Amino acid sequence: MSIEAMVIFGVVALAFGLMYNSLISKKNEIENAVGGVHSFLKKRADLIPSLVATVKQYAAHETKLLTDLTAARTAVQAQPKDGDLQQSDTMVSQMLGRVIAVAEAYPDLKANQNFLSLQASLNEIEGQLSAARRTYNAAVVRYNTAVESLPTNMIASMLGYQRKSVFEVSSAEAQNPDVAKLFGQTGT
Amino acid sequence: MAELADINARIDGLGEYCKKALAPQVAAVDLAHKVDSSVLKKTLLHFGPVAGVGWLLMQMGQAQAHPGMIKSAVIVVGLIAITISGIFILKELVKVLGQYSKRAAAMRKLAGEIKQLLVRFLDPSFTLEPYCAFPTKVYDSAGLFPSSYDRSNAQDRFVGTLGKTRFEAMKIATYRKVESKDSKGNTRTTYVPVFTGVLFQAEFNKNFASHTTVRTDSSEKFLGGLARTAQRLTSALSKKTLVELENPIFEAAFQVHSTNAIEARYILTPSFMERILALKQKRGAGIQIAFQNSTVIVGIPNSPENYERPFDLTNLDASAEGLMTELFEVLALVDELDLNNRLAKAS
Repeated sequence: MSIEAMVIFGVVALAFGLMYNSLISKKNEIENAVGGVHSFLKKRADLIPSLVATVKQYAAHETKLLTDLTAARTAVQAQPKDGDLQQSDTMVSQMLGRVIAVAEAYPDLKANQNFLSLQASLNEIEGQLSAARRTYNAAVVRYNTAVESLPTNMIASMLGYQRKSVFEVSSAEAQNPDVAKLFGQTGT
Repeated sequence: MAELADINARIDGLGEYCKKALAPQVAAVDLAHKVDSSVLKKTLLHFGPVAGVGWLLMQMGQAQAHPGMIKSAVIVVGLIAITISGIFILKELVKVLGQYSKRAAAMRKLAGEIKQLLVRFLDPSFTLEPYCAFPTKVYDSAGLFPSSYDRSNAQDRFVGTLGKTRFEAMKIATYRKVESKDSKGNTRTTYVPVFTGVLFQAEFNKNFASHTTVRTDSSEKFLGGLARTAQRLTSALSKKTLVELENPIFEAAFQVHSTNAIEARYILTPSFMERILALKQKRGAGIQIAFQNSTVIVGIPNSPENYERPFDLTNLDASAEGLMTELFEVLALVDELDLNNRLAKAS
């Protein structure tokens, strides 16, 4: 092989290696971000038993709501790591939102120190979860750009890499909440 | 606990406070340390002519054509006259210079005390220590400055609690040593300013353990996507990740690096990014922000003249107003960054 051919081969191999590594790195970034979302979903789910116990003391009639919340938590914990993150997230978010809304009707519960502390912890975790979703979305956008742009799309198709979906707000969440209906649903 | 609105209301009463409480103190120290130069003037009046005559005698003696006893005697008398006059004049001059020095020291001490009184006028819990600063490791570890420095001076450490937020601020000037050789081969050392301005440190309204920096980015304005690619490459070589955020205006104005990309986004929410952009608009380009261990540190650059400006007691009202403006700008940061909003902070 002539020297020119060796140089060209070397440059092509280097370029290929860099692009391959870049795709792998972007894929791993997504996995890392998924891990982050999972850990905050779990952290949030771990607060639910304390929340249910506190709310039960003051709002004993809200049995169905609390049972649904506990069921949502169990479903989240049963989800595998590569399961539907969006579904787990949405389910628990909606249930928690309803519980917090219900608490507005019980002044003693609202004033309870444990409830206030749980609410602060939930606010903190929701903020962290939102950040984890944004990090996941940023990683997915970078990955999708690499999978669809030249020249990395050629390597991506060789490896069977395909576009991934970002976290989206469901059509139900995108609507303004009807608080009166929310109270009506919980039987208060 | 102090609130910004209360402090704003108190500043309206500043003129009265200066007139009634501070001006008398300045007048008292001014009177106690008045420089009396009348004795020096009398000494100059009496001994000046004597020294003049002595000098004339010396000139006459030197002009004598023939050397001899008379010539030497004339010169010696002239010298004695100059020496004795000189001793008396110098003695009085040293006394007067000593008085000026004591007056300057007393005025400097009073200026420091008055600054502290003005700070307590804003709120009794606030303190100002003119010759103190917070530890260098605080801002060294924050990674705020655009480049390393060799020397730093800091002063006017201002500490207090506004609402729920405990804060500290100080003036700082950092310099980098630059050595150059002139045409003769001599080494000349100069100190080039790296950062001159105010450093503000406060408890942030969220808990986090990572280290994130938000630094002004002028490269993207000129180089666009190339700058971003270069930033990604350099970030790959460091411990901190380049964090690319969703707000394109924020992205063009700032470069964000962090040891934890999730916590960086936890801190830099869309609404908080808007606050930082508003802060940049108000305080000028060049602001640098670091977040570490649930603390925020903001560096706001201003001119070296601002750092070196002394508190002028001869113009008390203007100096007091200037100080109040500087302190209020520090306090306003708590509101501008919404640090008192603790909804997202679990205890």
